[in-house]
Amino acid sequence: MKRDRPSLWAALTTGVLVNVLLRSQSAYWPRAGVLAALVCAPLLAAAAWGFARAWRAGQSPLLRLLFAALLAYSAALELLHFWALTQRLYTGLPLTVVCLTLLLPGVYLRRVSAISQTAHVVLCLLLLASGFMLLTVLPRLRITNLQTFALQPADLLTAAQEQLTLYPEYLLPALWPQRGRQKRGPLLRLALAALWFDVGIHLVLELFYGAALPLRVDPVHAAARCGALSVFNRLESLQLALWVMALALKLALYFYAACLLLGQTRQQANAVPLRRFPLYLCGMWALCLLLRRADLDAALQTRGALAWGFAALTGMGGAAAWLCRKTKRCI
Amino acid sequence: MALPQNKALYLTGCLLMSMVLSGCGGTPLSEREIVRGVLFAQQESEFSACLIVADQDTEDTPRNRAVAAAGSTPAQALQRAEDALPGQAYYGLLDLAALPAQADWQTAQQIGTLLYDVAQPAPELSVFALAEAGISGWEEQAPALYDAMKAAESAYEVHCGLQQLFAQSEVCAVPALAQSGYDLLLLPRDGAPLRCRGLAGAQLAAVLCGQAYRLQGTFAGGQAACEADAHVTVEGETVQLHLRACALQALTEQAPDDLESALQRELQAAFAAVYGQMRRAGADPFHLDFWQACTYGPGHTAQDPRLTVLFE
Amino acid sequence: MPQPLSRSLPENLAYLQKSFGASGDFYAKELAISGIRCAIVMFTGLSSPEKLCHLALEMLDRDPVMLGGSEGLCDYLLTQSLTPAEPRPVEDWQTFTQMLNNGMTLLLIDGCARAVMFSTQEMPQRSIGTPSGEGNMRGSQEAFTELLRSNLSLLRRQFRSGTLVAEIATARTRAQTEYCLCYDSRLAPQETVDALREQLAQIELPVLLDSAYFASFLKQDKLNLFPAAAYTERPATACARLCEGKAVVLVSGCPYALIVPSFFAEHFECLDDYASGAVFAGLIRLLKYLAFLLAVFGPGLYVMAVSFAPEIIPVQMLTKLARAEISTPLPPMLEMLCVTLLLEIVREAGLRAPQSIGHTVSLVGALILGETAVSAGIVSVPVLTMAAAATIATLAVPSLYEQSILFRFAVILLAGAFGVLGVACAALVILAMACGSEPFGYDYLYPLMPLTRTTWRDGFVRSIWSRLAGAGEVIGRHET
Repeated sequence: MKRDRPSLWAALTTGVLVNVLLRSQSAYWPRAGVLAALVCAPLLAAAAWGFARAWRAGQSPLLRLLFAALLAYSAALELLHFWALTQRLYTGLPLTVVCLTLLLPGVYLRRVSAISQTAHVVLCLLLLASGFMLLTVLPRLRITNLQTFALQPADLLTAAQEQLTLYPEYLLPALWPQRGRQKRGPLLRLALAALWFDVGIHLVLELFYGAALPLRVDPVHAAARCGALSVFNRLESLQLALWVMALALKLALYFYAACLLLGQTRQQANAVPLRRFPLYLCGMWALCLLLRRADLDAALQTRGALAWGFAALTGMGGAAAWLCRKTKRCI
Repeated sequence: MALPQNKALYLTGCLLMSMVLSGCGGTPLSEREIVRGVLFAQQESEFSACLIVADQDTEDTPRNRAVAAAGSTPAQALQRAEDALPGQAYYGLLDLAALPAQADWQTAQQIGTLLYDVAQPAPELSVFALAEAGISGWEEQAPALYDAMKAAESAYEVHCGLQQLFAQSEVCAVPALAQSGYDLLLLPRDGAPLRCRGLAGAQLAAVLCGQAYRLQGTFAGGQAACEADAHVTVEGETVQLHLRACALQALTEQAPDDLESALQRELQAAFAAVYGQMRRAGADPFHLDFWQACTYGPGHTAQDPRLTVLFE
Repeated sequence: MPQPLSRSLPENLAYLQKSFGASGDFYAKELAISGIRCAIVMFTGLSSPEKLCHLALEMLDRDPVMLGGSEGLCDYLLTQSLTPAEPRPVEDWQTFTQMLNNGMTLLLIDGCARAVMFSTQEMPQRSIGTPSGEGNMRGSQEAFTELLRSNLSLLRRQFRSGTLVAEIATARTRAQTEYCLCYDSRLAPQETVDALREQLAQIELPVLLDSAYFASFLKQDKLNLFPAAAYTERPATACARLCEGKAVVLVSGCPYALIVPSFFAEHFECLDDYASGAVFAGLIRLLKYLAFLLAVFGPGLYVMAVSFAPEIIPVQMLTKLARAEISTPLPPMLEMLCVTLLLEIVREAGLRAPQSIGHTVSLVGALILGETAVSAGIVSVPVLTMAAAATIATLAVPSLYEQSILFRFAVILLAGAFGVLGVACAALVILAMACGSEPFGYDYLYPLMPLTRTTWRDGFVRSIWSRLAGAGEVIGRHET
C-alpha cells in the first residue's frame, strides 16, 4: 500500500505486449516462432543484462545523449506506426490528433509512481481485453487452419529475426536498477512474456486466418472486429482504446527515461517537471512531421539495427571502463 | 530544455484548444447509409453490385432497400453503387456478402479482398453465393434475397465467414442460395467450380468443410427425410461421419425399407464424387491432407479416403 | 514573544477596555475576594455569568479568609480551592484573548500577573442531528455539529480506547480557528501523523470555515482532480477510519471531519456495507463502481458511438438514434454538452434556491424544460436519457460528485472531437490522475490495485465478517 521505490516492470511489460497487438502484419508462422523463441528469449535477456552492466560501468554523456535520441526516434516511430493504423481504419485522422491524444496523458504520467501504478491497471485491462477477444473468436478458430508444410530454415530465420528486435524496453531497466521487490531473472521474464505472447497471438491468428495469415493487414484488429457482447456486435473500438492507453503509457515511459538521461537532478529522479512537457509534446510532433513521409517498415528495421548498435557500443564502452579499472588496480 | 511553468501551461492550453477547434468530428448518423449486405452478380464480363441499405425512415419494423450499379470489375461496380447512395456508405454493420452464382475461385478472392479493403467488415461476415436463377431487377429482388440468405443461414445453421475464403490457398467453399435448403459452391483455384446440391451433396460437403454441423433435408429422390447432428472424425483413410440424434422418416410408400443404409449409400457416393473431382483439381476442401500430415508428418496426403456413416 | 499580563488590575482592565470595550458582549465586573480587588471578564454570548456565580463566586464567599495576598489567592484558587478553576493560569494577553474567545471566564487579581480561568462556557449551538448528506439505514444516526468540543466528545464516545489522541491547535488564520488532529497512537503510522501535523501547522489561510480548506494544501500534485482527503459527518465513520490507522481532522465551526489519507475505494464504501450481508454489500459496491463509470464515461461513449463508431450499436437502435438525430439541430457532442450543462444548472438552482421554491425549480427543470425541449426538437430523447442517467448515476457516489462532473465534460469533449482516441486519452488521463495521487505516499488505488487478496476481501466487494475481523486493514502495515 505504500511504495518507496515503485517497480516499472509492469510498464515495460505493457510496452512490449502492445507491440504485438499493434502489428500491421504477421511476422512468422507460429511453429517457427515457438522454436525461435526458445533461443531468442535468453538471447534478448542476455543482451539486456549485458547492456545494463555495461551501462552502469561505462555510461558517458555521449551515450546518454545517444540513448535519449534512440528513445525519441522510437517514440516518433511508434506514433507514426499508430497513425498509419488509424489512417487505414479511420481515414482522415490527422497526425496532430494522434500525437496529441497519445502524448497528452503524459502530463499526469510524469511521476514514476503514477507510471508504475497506471501500468498495473492497464496491463490488467489489456490482458482481460485480450482474453475477451480470444473468447469472441473462439468459435471461429479451426484446428484445420493450421498449416502443415515442413518448416524451412528460412522460416526459422524470419521468426528469429523478428523476435530479436531489441525494443528500448529491454534497455530501459539499466536506468533504474533495483526498484521495488524484484523477482528473479526479471529481464528473462520480460523477454519470455513478450515472445510467448507474440507466439500465442500468432497461433490464434493462424487458427483464425489459416493460409491467409501473412496477407491480412492489421490482423489483430481485424480479429477484434469479431468482438461481440450480447446485442453489441463489434467492440473493436474498446480494444483499440486499450491499445491507445497502453501506447500512451509506453510513450510516457520513454519521456520519463529521456528526461532521466538528459541531466535530471537526483531530486527530480521520481518525477519529470511539468515545464518540460510542452517541449516534449511539440518536439515529438515536429519529429513526426519530419518523418511522416519515411518508409515505416524500413525505419522500424533501422530502429532495430540502431538499438543493437547502441547496445554494442555501450557494451564496448563498459568493457573498456572495466578493463581500465582492472588495469589501475593492478598498477 | 525548460520553459517557465506558466508559459508551458499556456502553450499546452492553446494547443489543446486548437485541436478541439480544428474541425475534428465524426459523421452524423443521418448522413450514413448503413449497409447490411453487399450482393454481387456477374453477367458475362460485366459485374453488378447491389448494396442492401437499412431504411432509416421506417418507424417500426426495420426494412431494407437496395441500390445497385454495374461495372466492368467488382470494385468499379461497388464504387458506382456507393456513388448512387444519397449519403455516405457505412459498412460497420455489414453482415452479409453474396458472390455471383457462377463465381470461380479468382472472382471469390477478388471480391473478398475488395471487401477487406473497402468495407473492413468483421472477418466472420457471412458469405453466400447467389442462386443460379438470374436477377431481373435488384431493387425489387435484393432485399428479399438478403432475407432469404439470412433465413437459410439461420435455418440450416450453415456459416461461411469471409476469412474462410482465404483460409486455404487452393480452394474455398461457399454456401449458395437454393430453392430448398442450400447448395455449396466448391471453388478450386486450378479447376472448374463445383456446385453441390441437396442433403448428400451440399450439406455433407458443408459438414466436411466445417461450415455446418447439421444435416436436414430429403434423400432417396425426395422419398425420405433426414434430420441429424453431424460431426466428422478422420482415422487414417477413413472419414467417419457421426450422426447423432438422427431422425429418418419415410415420406412415401416407395421409400427404401432400410433408410440408414440408403442414406449411407447416398452419402458415400456423393463423397466419392465430390472428393474425386476436387482431388483432380488439386484441392482438399475437406482438410483430409491436414489429418494425414498430423498423423504421419508433413508431406503425407490422403490417397483413397472412404466415408463411413456412424449412427449414434 | 507574547505580551505578559500586568500586576496592576487597573492597567489590565484598561488594556481590556481598549481591546474589547466597544464590543457589546464584553462583560467585566470588579469585585473583592477576601479583601483583594479582583475582576471577572467574559463574553456574555459565550459564557454565563449565572453559571460563574453558581459555580465559583458563591463558593468563594463561603471560603475562610485566605492569607498570602494576591499571589496567595491565585495559588489557592489554582491548587486548593474547591471551585472548578482550570489548573493552569493565564500569563499573557494572547492566551487570555484566546481563552475569552473559547468561552472561559477569567479572573484578574490585583497585584498578580496571572489570571485564573473558569470553565463557564454556555455557547448557543445546534443540537446533534442526523446526517444530511450521508444516508445510511443502519448504525449510529448522530452527526457532527459545529462545536469542536462537542464533536470531540462524539468521537471519543465512539472510540473509547486510551490510545485516541486529540491534538488541538490553532490554525494560522486571522480568525484563530481551532482544529483538532485525532488519531490512534498505536495504529496510525507515526511518520504520517508527523507529516500531517507539520503540514497543517504550516497552512496559512485568511479564514478557515471548513475542513475542506485544508484538503488542497495536502495534495501532492495540484493539477490532480482527485481529492486528497475524504469527509464525513458521521462520528461512526470517523471512528472506523481511526481504526484503520488514519487521522481525522476536526475544525471548529465545521460539521464535517476530514479523513487523511483517503483512498479511492473509500468513496464506494459506506457503513451499511458492513451492516448488511456480504453478498448484497458486494453487489451494491460493484453497482456503485458501475455507476461511477456510467457517470463519467456514459455520455462520452454515447457521443463516440454515434459520431465515430456506430458499429457498436445494434442496428435497430441505430436507426432510432438516426431518426432522433435528424430532428435536432445540434451535433451530438454539442447537444450532449448543452443537456449536461442544463442539468447541472437545474441541480445548482435547486440546491441554492430557497427551500420554498426549490421544488418548483426542480419541477420546471425536469418536467417542463425537458418535455418542451424534446417536443420542440431542440434536444433528442436518447441524449436526454443518457444525460439524465449519468446525472443520477453521479448521485450514487456523492463524494466524487465534483470529479464526476468535470471528468464527464472532458470525456464528452474529447470523444466528440477525437472519437475512440479521445475516449482512450480521457480514460488514461483519469486513470493516471488516480494512480498519481499519492496521499502521504500511499497508493490511492489501494486496495483495488495492484490486485491482491485484499482487493477481494474489502475492495471491489467485501468478504464475510469472520474473515474481515481476522485481518482488519490498517494502513502502513505492509509496503509494496
